[in-house]
Amino acid sequence: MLSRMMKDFRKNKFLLALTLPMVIYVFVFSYTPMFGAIVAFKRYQYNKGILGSDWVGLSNFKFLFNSPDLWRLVRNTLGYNAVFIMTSLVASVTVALLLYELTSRKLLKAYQSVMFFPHFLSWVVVAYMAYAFLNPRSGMLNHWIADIGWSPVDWYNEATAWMYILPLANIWKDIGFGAIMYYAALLGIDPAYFEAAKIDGANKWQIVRKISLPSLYPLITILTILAIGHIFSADFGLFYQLPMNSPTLLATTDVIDTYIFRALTVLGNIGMSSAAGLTKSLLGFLLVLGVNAVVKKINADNSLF
Amino acid sequence: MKRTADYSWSKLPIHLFFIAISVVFIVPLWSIISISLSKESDLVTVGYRLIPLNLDFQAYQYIFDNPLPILNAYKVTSIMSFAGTCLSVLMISMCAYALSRSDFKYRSIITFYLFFTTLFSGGLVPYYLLMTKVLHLQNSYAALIIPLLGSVWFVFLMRTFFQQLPDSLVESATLDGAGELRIYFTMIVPLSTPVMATVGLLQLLAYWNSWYQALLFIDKQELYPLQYLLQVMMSNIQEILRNMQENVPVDAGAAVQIPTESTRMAMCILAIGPMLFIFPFFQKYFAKGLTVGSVKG
Amino acid sequence: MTKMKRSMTVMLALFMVVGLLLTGCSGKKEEPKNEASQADATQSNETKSNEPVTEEGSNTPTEEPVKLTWYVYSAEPKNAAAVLQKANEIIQEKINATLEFKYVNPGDYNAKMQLAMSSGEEYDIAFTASWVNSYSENANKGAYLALDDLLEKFPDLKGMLKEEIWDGARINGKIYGVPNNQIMADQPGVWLKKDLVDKYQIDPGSIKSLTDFTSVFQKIKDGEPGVSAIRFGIASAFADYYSSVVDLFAIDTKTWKVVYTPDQYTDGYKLTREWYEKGFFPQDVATLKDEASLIKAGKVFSRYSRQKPGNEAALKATNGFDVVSVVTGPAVINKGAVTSTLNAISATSKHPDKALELINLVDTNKELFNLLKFGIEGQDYTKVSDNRIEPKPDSYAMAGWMFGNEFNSYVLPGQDDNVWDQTKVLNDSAMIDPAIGFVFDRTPVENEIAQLTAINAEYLPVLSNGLEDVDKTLSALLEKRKAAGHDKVLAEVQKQLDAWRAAQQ
Repeated sequence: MLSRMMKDFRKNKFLLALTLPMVIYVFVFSYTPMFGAIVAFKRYQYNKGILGSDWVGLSNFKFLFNSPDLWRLVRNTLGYNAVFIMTSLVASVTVALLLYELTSRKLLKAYQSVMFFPHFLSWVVVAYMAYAFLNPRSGMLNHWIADIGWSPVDWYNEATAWMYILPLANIWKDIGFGAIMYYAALLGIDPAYFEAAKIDGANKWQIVRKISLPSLYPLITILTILAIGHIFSADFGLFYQLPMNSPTLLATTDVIDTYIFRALTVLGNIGMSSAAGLTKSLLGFLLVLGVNAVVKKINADNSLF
Repeated sequence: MKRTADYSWSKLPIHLFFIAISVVFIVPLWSIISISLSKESDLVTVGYRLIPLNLDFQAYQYIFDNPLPILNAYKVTSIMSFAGTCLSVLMISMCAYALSRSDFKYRSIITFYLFFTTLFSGGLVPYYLLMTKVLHLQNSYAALIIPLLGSVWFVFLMRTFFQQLPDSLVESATLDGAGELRIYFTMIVPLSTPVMATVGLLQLLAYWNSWYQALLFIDKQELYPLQYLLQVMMSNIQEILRNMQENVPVDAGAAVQIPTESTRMAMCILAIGPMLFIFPFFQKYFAKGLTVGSVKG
Repeated sequence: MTKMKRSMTVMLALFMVVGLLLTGCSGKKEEPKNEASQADATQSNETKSNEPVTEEGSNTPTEEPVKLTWYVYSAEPKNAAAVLQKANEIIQEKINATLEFKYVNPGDYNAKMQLAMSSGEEYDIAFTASWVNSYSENANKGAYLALDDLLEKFPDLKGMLKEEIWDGARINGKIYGVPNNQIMADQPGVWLKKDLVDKYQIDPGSIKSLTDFTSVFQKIKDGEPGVSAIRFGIASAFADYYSSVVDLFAIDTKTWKVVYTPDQYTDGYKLTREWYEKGFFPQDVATLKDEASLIKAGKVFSRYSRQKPGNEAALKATNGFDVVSVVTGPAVINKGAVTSTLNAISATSKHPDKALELINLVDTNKELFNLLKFGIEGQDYTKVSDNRIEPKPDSYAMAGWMFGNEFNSYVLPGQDDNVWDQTKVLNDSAMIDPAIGFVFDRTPVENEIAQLTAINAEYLPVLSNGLEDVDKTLSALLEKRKAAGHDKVLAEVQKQLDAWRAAQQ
């Protein structure tokens, strides 16, 4: 037993050495502070510290699970995240495939830059930009709508509209980022495959289906698994800043993270906020274990671990 | 690559598609620039416009009223972004490469070990204690660089790329007697420039846009990165305005005419401007043809 | 699958080892410190109060001056170093200590202070308030030192404020912060734009109830397209005064019953709804983020405003036009007003007595206070007369209400010579909330309050701006609140109130 372990170690020591900086980094900066998660089960007192504060059992979890809005929160969080994962996947892959078809380097660069630029912006800036278009007083969109002769829409009081605005904004901000990754993955395919396919007389669509897409599957799978881990968390900026925190939109914009913010912004309770965080992580973790197991059954190479 | 293909008509629909999309992306960018150059009072009275009614540089003047801190912040951001990106790409790619090798015995356990941290964390307070009380990193470049250094997400991204490389490549090199480190540096790195450039670019951006570490760990203005400095300026403006309206006594000397909207947009332009020049540099590495065949041959 | 299971078991094992190591190590490291600071916190009330107070100037010069750090809610002002150096000459001479302000940008103050407190950082004084760096929460969570006994050593400081005001600063029976002496009375009002008041011959004196506003606003709406009659709803104007406790619960001090405030303001909400439908508000009333430019551009006719002496001059300076005020309620000194600005001494402070001595000095020494507020004469301002100054542009300035006694302040251009006398008159004539000493301990209902807070944030802006039908919104709000523990909190507040009243008698 021991000798086998030693043998394994000797055989793998160089590869192990390559992972060492990352392993140590993660140990020091992620695992060591992790004991702090116990604060979710405590009534935190500044003068007692994390370890010295009193245990309160599961009390800190109540404000989330007892919320009369729980159904709305879960529905919106999961619904939007599912839509986001799918739409940005389809959009990014499509754009990457189309970019790959282009041969003009100059235009290619131009398109990439333009689509990538929203990734530079914070949600606060995007929110103000959207406000410039949507606000009922001086918004450009309403000016245009009025110009065609339609009646202006009070977007910040129109809850259903946000079921479309939020996914659109999310795609708009993410597509350049996703497309660049998938584009880089396409660049990794040996051109010999394409040449061979062409010689065999395959058309464009066949090439995409038989060569390009399959070579993207591993990346698609991994990114999706990772995204599923965070399916109970929402991008706070998107859901809080973009709708300008409008109270009449909450039916379609309220997610777990915005609820936590609303509930705890006054109290500033560290115990309750880590309880909520722990819940989200745990559920996401279980989901990932499940999805990973399924992926492993289908194709072990594509699974995360 | 044949240049003649550039003007092939069959690509026209694709170009039309991208041109249409580009409009959707350029109009907002254009509106940011336009708002940043608008007169603050125009924004209220006539609303936002794609072409400013009156060209006005007040927002930029306001920001550059005291240019030294801004220039210094550019310097801090540049150092932090450059050093951070280099270190983290090295660290991430080495780890990702080892994890991509199917014959690596500890692959599964290390992957899980890393993955676990993407979901669970101990929260801010213990992290803060570690950084300040144990490691004493406050007010240093290290405090700005370390928090973003080891992105597990990028490790998995890269691992997936490396897995695409044919196993035969490594096998033949091992037979030649090359050590793992040498294989990594002389074969894997050159073959992976697109993914190295992608991760490098994304990390650079993450550093460039980061401000939270500064909020946590930096007290001295000499070490404020650009985004944080701009944010502090913006929050001061808002604080002054809020006080004025809530009728908390505002001490005289606080300027009465502060542009808010145009300043916010001007700050955005100042922050993303340099990135728009750096972006093409990375695009150079997004080239086709850097493949196994070309290295072998 | 088996491989994964194995790796998970290994991970778990590793985890536990790490966890044990960590708790072991940090436990050892932290416990003595905690005990010490706790002991410190309790002791300082008892033992330290016996130490003789160093009289001003009587300190022995051989002693090293004590270094005191003070967190303030402000970005670093210009010339801060020079001003602080000059201030330290005074402070060192008087109490043999030196002061270091830690400037924290307003937007980051909550986050920074929370980290400073939770990491057990040693600092001496911090600015705290009901609206930022929550005074009651922090005091409840043990971040501050109880000052009751220590305060007895500084009769000037203790006598600066009325006993009721000190009561207003009490948390669980103890004083944890020194309120800054300034305007204490809270009086609601509305300002009206004077040029339009004159143009439409509006008599502000005739506005005696909320409904009186309707015809005024209608005139503006009809005559001035593009101008909003009022910035946002003022449903509680002219309503009876209730002493608010927590969440939406308040005390009716006539009957000592706890009331749910939306029930009291129903008529106000209905009128607000009427105003909304008539178009008196800006179209983006609930989402408008940048009201200052709208007001400055003259697009708003009226807005809520807290009343105080010199109010109209101050508003003219910020808005650029003349205003007339309508007072919409009595002047009251309540807990909220008292805790709107305080300075507390940290439980981690090594020199709590010196820290309080410093607060005492800043509050009683006019020269020092004005130096810290306006900077150095000649460099940052010019003196116009004995008590009046003219600040120079781009120079040192810090908000006086944040750290000291505003009644010692020089007056600024636009302010009346006797503005502080008038303020004093208002403070003295104001009604003192009979429930000012009552503090609600929210510990038993923390979860319910968190839920109720989230629910209120959804419905209150709708009600107070008239965005939707009032009856429908009120019943939806109450229904959700009931599900979140409305009745339990109500009963808890009443129970604690009754207990407090019994103890008072």
